Amino acid sequence: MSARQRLGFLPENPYFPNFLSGREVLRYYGKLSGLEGKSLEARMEELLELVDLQEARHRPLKTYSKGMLQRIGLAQALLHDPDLLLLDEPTAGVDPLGSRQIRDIILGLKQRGKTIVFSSHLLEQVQEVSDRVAILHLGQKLKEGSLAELLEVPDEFELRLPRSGRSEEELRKVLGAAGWSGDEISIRSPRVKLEEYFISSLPERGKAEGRKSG
Amino acid sequence: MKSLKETWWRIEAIAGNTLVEALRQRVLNVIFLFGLVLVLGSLFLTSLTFQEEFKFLKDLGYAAISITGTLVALMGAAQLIPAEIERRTLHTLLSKPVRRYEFILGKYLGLLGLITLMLLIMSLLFAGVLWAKEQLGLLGLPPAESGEEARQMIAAVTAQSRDLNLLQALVLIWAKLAVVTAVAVFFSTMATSTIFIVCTTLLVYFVGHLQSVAREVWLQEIGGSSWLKQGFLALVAFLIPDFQAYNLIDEIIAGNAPPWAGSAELLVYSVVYVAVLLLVSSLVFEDREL
Amino acid sequence: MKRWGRHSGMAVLVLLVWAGLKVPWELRLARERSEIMYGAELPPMSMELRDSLGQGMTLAALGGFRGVAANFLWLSVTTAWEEQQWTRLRALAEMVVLLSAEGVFFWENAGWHMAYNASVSAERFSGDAERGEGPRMRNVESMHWIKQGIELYERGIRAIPEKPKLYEMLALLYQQRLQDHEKAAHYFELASQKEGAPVYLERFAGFALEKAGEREKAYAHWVKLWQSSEEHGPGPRRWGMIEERIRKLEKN
Repeated sequence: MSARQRLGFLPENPYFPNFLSGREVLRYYGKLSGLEGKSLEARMEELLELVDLQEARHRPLKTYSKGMLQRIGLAQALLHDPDLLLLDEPTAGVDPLGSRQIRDIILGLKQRGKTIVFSSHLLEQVQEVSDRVAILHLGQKLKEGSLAELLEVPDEFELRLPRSGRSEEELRKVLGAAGWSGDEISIRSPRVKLEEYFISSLPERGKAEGRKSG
Repeated sequence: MKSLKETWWRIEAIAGNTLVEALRQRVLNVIFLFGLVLVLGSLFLTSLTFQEEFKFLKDLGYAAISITGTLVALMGAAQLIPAEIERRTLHTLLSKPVRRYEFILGKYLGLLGLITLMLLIMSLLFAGVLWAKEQLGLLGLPPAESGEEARQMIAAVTAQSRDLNLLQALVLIWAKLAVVTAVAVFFSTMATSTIFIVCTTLLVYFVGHLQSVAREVWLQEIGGSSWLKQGFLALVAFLIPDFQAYNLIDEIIAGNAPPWAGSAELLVYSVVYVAVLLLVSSLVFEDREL
Repeated sequence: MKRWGRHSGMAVLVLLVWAGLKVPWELRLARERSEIMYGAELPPMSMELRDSLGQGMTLAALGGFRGVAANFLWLSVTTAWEEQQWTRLRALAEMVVLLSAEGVFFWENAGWHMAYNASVSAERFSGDAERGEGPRMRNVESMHWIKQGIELYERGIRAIPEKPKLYEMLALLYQQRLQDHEKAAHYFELASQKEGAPVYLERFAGFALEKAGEREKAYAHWVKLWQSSEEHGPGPRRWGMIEERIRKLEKN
């Protein structure tokens, strides 16, 4: 029991009483977590702001999108201010804008010094936010470590330079003069991530609406 | 002490949530509306004699209240508890510091609150119906000042309409419904099928009305009849509540005033029965794979 | 968490303990109930158990609608009365009192239909005059319905022994339909002893005894009434009338 007090948990596909509004759900789970009165109300406001659901707070949960449900789920897991947060597939089935929002929340929590353990099969997202990862396969832990330890290719360099009006040939020449042979070098223009491209291509208005419906 | 208080908070929160959910359920509201219409409709029963009208009125009013209450208890328990498991809201709930018995108690108290609320509303309406009938009855009578006979006639009417023993009947209906709800909660800790819960609870309800007969036969025939028969009768006597005990309700409505002490003991019996059923439900639920 | 773990075992244990406690308690409740319903004189649960199983089944199936079902059947009783279908009325009345034995109303009115309406109607029945059946048939038929009335009142009294009404009805029946004043006096007396009985019943018992020719018993009855109170002022017990009866009987 006392372990559960220090632990916040968001199950995969969390299910909440969908006849309640966002606020009511938080109040209900807050009471179950042993909060009450003014401190509970204040905490609810704080969390609704954190997960960006102030505008939807009075709507019943059955009108929420998947991303909004995950966010209210995050909020309820944070109610009693746990040190450790367990999230099971927090972005599964959530659209790109929504999952970006969830990622931002997770990063914000990390900055506040919370320990967050989450599972995901969206590996790119894992890479973006994690300090340490473990790889599980068929219930067995195969690998564990920091991202740098696991992913770094120690005997290679990756360079990123502004073009400054020069050609690829010029760069190869410089590197060749320093002793690297031509087939050791691979040069190309970097690409933005599809997710970033997707978001940047939305019109401004669409972004705002996308945020609301998440 | 502190943890006991927190346990109570959690039970209260779950009970409150159950009540809110139940009030937003269409099925339960339709049943409730049906009950209200039936109580109100009893006002328009007209019959031959004044005495008959009052009797019919009370019978129909109380039948409406107890049938509606039974249906609400049955459907409420059979819908709301399996729903928590099937919609997996229970998983989220149990990720909070909530113990399983707190869930069972919370659910039960929420349902009991619902039933109490509905009984109160229907009783108030019924009291209004009785009052209206009394006023209608008095309209045809000479005023009290006109003599002893008129006073006696007026007293005869108000004795029918202002029978405080009807409150006693109401308390006993409530007690009976509390036991029925506990039976339904017990079955809902074992299965998630609404139909299964409704059927088994109804079965217990009906057998419960025959339990006293089974008990008497069993006591008379101990050692005298086949083992199979005795075993069956004993099982019924030992496991099923005695709903026949609540026949006091019919006595009261018929105008026979039993002493409050008898009703009080029946009330205690009901409360103890509910406590036992909830304890057993919690224990069974503790072992259940969710 | 296994399917049948430690807790389920405890649940079974709790049920066992409770089973042992609940049966004696329920027996006690049933005894108290039957005292309320049938009075303390009758041994509890003296009904035929196997018969009551079938009845219990019907009653349980009707649940809370038992009283309502009885009421609607009673409407057919009234129709049968209007149509003078006495045999049908008798059968319907039987069903009504099976469904709702706890109210005085059905017993009282069912008995009244039999002993008064049905039997008076039979007195008018001419029979086959040529074969000289008329008066005899009338008598037999009329008696039959009166006996039905008596039976209903007696069963009603067994079901609701604490109310004066059915004793009074039975006394009136003996007095008015059979001119059996001795029995009438007996039931008036019983009726007057019940709680809430109208005061005139105690006097009715005395008058019935006089009519039966039981002068000594009547005298004793009036004297007993007189002595039952210190106060003999004006009021519903009509002491003047009682005094008059005592003096009259003393004179002869």
